[in-house]
Order: sequence, then structure tokens, then C-alpha cells
Amino acid sequence: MARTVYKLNGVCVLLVEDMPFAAQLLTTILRAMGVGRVLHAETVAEAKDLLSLPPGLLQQSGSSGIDIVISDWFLDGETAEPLLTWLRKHESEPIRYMPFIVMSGYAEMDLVFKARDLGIDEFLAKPMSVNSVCTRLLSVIDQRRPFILTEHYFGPDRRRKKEPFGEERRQSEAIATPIGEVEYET
Amino acid sequence: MSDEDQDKAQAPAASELEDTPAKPTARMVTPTNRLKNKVGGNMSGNLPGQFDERLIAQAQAAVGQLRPPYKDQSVEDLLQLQRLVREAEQRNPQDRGPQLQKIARIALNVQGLGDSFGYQLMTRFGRSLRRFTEQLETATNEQLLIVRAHIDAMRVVMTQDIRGDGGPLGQELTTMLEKAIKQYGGG
Repeated sequence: MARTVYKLNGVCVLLVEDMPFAAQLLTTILRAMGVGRVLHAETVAEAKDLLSLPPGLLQQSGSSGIDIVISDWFLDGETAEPLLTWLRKHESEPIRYMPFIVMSGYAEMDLVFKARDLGIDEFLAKPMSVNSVCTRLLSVIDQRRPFILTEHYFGPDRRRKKEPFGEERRQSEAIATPIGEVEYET
Repeated sequence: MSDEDQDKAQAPAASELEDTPAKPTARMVTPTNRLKNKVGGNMSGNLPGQFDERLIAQAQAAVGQLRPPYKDQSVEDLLQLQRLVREAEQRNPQDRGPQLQKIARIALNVQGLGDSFGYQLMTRFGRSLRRFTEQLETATNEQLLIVRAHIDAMRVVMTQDIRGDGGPLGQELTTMLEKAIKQYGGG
């Protein structure tokens, strides 16, 4: 059976990036891939403003609200952490469960694990390529993981393998399982 | 029941996420995959899809067209790095922290762009400069020379348009920087 060819013309991506040329690069890739709308914020505050707009205001170009956030981790004088925690605690379900892809040139394990433990879906290591962007997009489309709520965590299941769900197993694997297929810098 | 209603039925309320009391167990929620529905995915069989190969090729071509502006960006980054080193040199070693932070930030940007356009060495040297400077709060003159050596190496890459790993010259530049860091990196 032939695989479905996805059409991204109805998708709206919010890109949070303070470096103009890096934003231009990713916007170019997304638009060439047919993404209907790419919104750009340079700061966490701008990103929150865009995410807080009523969906009706973003219904141009076939899009209906923001579907994915792709954010650099290191922004000018701040990180994406407050945006991610704000989003995962948001009262609106579409925002709370929104796919969140973090990107950074700083792809060392400490950051990857920290971002994972704050509830990201995917980590896109810079320098990015068309293939790495496509892989992350396909992952949030096809391999969306269930969300887990515990005392200390709310976000996509940090385990990648489909295994029986149980607290004891979760705790032991939460530390051991990396997110995605990031090539860590060591 | 609509997608949103289904999500609401099983979703934890926002209030549950704030000040959540200790719970012995975790809750699992499977939100509706609106994105897959939106891109025309097969929702019933949970089958994976793909992107149009022509669009992928189109995106790769579009990235290639960004190479000239990437080079301009690199020149700007190198000029800014040189300016920051000069500023740092005019300060006392213990007052060079602000310049070092800015250098590390630009180096991260250089690292994050280079290989997207085939300039592996820009990524390698950017990473090396970022790692070297992000750990410094002060810098001796010798340590600033190492920063300068990184900038010089990156300038060679861009002026000679060295793509890929740069072959013997790339290895020579890499070895030179590694030796300099080993010899003078400690201050």
C-alpha cells in the first residue's frame, strides 16, 4: 500500500528564532516544503502573543491557528524554557498539547535531556538540513507520543518504545532513554 | 463527540498542572492527532506517510540559493568577532566577560549554520570557539590569541571557499587550533 503524501499547505508553524539568517533558512525550507504559513517571533513574549491570538485571526492561507512550534533554545538574553513551560501548562488543550520542536547548535546531552524533561517533542540539532527538518516534522505527525502527567512532569512520553505502562518502569527509563535520534555532542 | 471534546474528556485541567499534589501514579493521555488529520494522514490505520520528493528537492535547491547570503552573514559574524576581540583586548583580563559571552553567542550561530551550506569547518571551528569561550569568565592575552586563531581559521575557510572537511588544509587548521588550546587554553 502506497504511503500517503502529506500536504502541508494547511499547516501553520510558529518559528521562534532571534537570529535573522537562521530564521530565514528554516522559513525557506518550510515554505519550499509547502507549509501554508510560517509565523516568526524573536522573543518568548512575542511567541506567547502569537499563540494567544484567537484562532479566527489566523485563518488566512487555509491555516486555522498554530499547529507546531519550532523554537531555538537560546534566544537573545533568554531561553525557550519559559515558553515551553507556559505552553505545557496552558488552559487551552490545543496549546497545551502542541508539538514543540527545540532546535539548537548546542546539542550536548545536558540540554537535550533538560529540554526533554520540560516536555519537548523533538530536538532539531543545528546545523539543520532539509532531511533533518523533514524527519522531525514526520515524527510529530506520525509518531506523536501520548502525554504523561506525573507529580513532576507533563509532556510527551519520554520513552520511545511501546512498552507496558507502569510507574516503576517509567522512572527507571526516564533517565536512560534519550529523546529522538539526536546525535549528541560529547 | 468532537476532537476537542474527546481531548477534554481525558485531559488534565490546567489547574492540575499547577501545584499538583504528590500522586502515586502517572496518568497517560492520548490527545487527538489534529496535525496528522490536517496534512491528510491516514487516521484509521495509523500508517506513516511521507513528503513529496519533488518538494524535498525543491527545498534543497532553495537552501542552495541561500549560499551567497550565508557567505555575507559569515563575513558579518567574523567582523563582529574581530570587533569583540579588540574590545576585550582593551580591557583588563578580569573585565573581559561581557565580550567573551558575546563571542560565544556568535560562535554558536556560526556553528549552527556552517554545515547547512556545506561548510563543515565553519561548524567545527564555531563549536570549538563556543566551547572555549563559554567556559571563560576572564581571559588572558594568550586566551584571546586563541580566539583570534579561531577567527583566522574561519576566515581562511570562507576566503578560500573550503567546503566539506577541507582535506589536508582542514586537518592542518584543526590541529593548529587544538594545539593552541592545549598549550595556552588554561591561561
